[in-house]
Amino acid sequence: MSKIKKTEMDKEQTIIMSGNYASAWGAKCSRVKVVSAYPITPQTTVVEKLADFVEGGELDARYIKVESEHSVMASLVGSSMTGARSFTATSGQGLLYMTEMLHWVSSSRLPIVTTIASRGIAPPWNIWAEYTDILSVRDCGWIIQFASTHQEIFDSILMGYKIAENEGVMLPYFIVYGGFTQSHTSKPVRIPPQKDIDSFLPSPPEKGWSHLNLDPENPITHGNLLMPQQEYLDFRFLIHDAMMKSKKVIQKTITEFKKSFKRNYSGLTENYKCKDADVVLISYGALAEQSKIAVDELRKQGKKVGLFKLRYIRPFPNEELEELFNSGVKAIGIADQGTAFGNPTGGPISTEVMSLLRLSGKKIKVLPYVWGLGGRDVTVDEQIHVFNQLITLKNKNQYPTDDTFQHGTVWMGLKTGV
Amino acid sequence: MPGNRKKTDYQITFFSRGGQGGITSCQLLAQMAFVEGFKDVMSIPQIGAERRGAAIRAFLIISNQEIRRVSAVTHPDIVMVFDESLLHLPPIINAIPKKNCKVLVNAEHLNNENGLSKDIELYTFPGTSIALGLDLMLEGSPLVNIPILGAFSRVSGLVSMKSIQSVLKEKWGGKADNNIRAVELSYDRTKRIY
Repeated sequence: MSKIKKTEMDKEQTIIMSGNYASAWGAKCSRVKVVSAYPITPQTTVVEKLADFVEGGELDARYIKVESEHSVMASLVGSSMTGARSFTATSGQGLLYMTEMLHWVSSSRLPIVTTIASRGIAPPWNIWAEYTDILSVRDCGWIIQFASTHQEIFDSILMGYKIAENEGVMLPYFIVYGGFTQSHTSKPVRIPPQKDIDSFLPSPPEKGWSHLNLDPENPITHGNLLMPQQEYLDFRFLIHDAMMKSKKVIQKTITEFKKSFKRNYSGLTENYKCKDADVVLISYGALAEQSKIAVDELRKQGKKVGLFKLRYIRPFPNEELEELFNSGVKAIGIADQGTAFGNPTGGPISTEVMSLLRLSGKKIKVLPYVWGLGGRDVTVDEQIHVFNQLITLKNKNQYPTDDTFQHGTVWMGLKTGV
Repeated sequence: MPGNRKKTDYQITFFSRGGQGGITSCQLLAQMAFVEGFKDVMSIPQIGAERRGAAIRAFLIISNQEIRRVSAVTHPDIVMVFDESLLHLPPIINAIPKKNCKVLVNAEHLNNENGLSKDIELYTFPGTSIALGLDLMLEGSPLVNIPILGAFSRVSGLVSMKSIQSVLKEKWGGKADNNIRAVELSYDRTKRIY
């Protein structure tokens, strides 16, 4: 394979690129060795750009074209078992089709990184931002991190491999961002010099992963049948244990990243003006980032509001949430951009937050929201309205009375009677 | 707009037809505004069923601060119309603000009964004839997306001709000369109607 390195940079460059290209650049700069791909909107341009990089000799990697997302992940199970840094990207239905293999990856403890340009689930067909795809595979044993800016998509891939390949973690890693609002919009992305990336993220060990290494010279069997009395249960615990303990590695990696590249991703959560806030909105993704504008507007009016952005949902940031519950906050809203049909406590994430709140024993008023399904526009004004509803809840113990309040949850922008 | 120091965010809507290069010019202008020194830029193509000749929208936000919003652009400061016949389409004419907006239309002569409000600033530029004259063609269609850059510079004052030229040169090297000529011609031939 040729090794022209024409886009490898000696000094930092800022390039205006789509969120999908930021993902492809992140994989390229992480020097992935294997890319397996099946196209699906809105992810497709990630793997197209990577095909360009490989074809042009700018990325020294094997590019595997397969017939489905299931085979994408199956082929990466093989490549990652040889110790090769492996990458793919998918969306919506593609992720659902891949689901069986997600368990093969996590249960084999393979540090594959995958980016998800999230979209609504069909039918009816929808290709715009919504996170029901990733939320419905949240218990597959993958670390799940949201990237709410273009720069964060790129940076997260570098951090993702470093975290996933850590000896104490060895878990696969999802980086998630919104279809179209992030995947297809273009913004400036800073690409650091390759030598700095190489020293932050060294190559994986030559001899493969220490727990599992496919080597034709030393054949092994793997994934065989285990009887109930054998170690199946215990392996399951080890996945959970590694996930819980990965929080320290995540925090350490964020700190190292800040040292190397001067960008600070704070931690598993980002607390925006929460310190003295008596009303806080908990959310994730680009809509959470946008909510900061609403917070700033309301702060100008003297209202003590804050945004608590979940960067990770696996592992779940329980300590950070406990700290929030103990901060004196009086009312919390939790906005999910995804569904959990039949669930009495809103979406998947509001349910998890509410279960922790119950454990903490704190008497904090709470209101779940479902917003932005299928890419439905959520404006700053609507987000200001959310905070004002929460302020009313705090001051008067009044829940919303309009048609959008259904079964204890606000379905923002809901048109009833359709 | 230029001179209004308080304003930090500028929003621009592009209406074009599939094949005219509307999305490309939106992305080029994002780059040009960044070169101009704006702190953040965001180009937002509206993707759906893209077909040759069908109406296509794209949006551009250029800002002196970090852009955090992802919601749709609904009150643009500037609207760029690549083809005057687009003004006959109700979803497009209804999406153009009735005041506090500059509207820039690719047209040789614009009929007075164009459906636009009289409380906006209306400009035209002859993008199609400039593209035809310089043989800026793609698959038989004149590329209006290059001349429109010069008209944008003239009308908005947000992006200088220098920034436009530097991005075109960076992108196309020696082949940029024809494009730069098109930009200069349209800058000169942009007219304010009212």
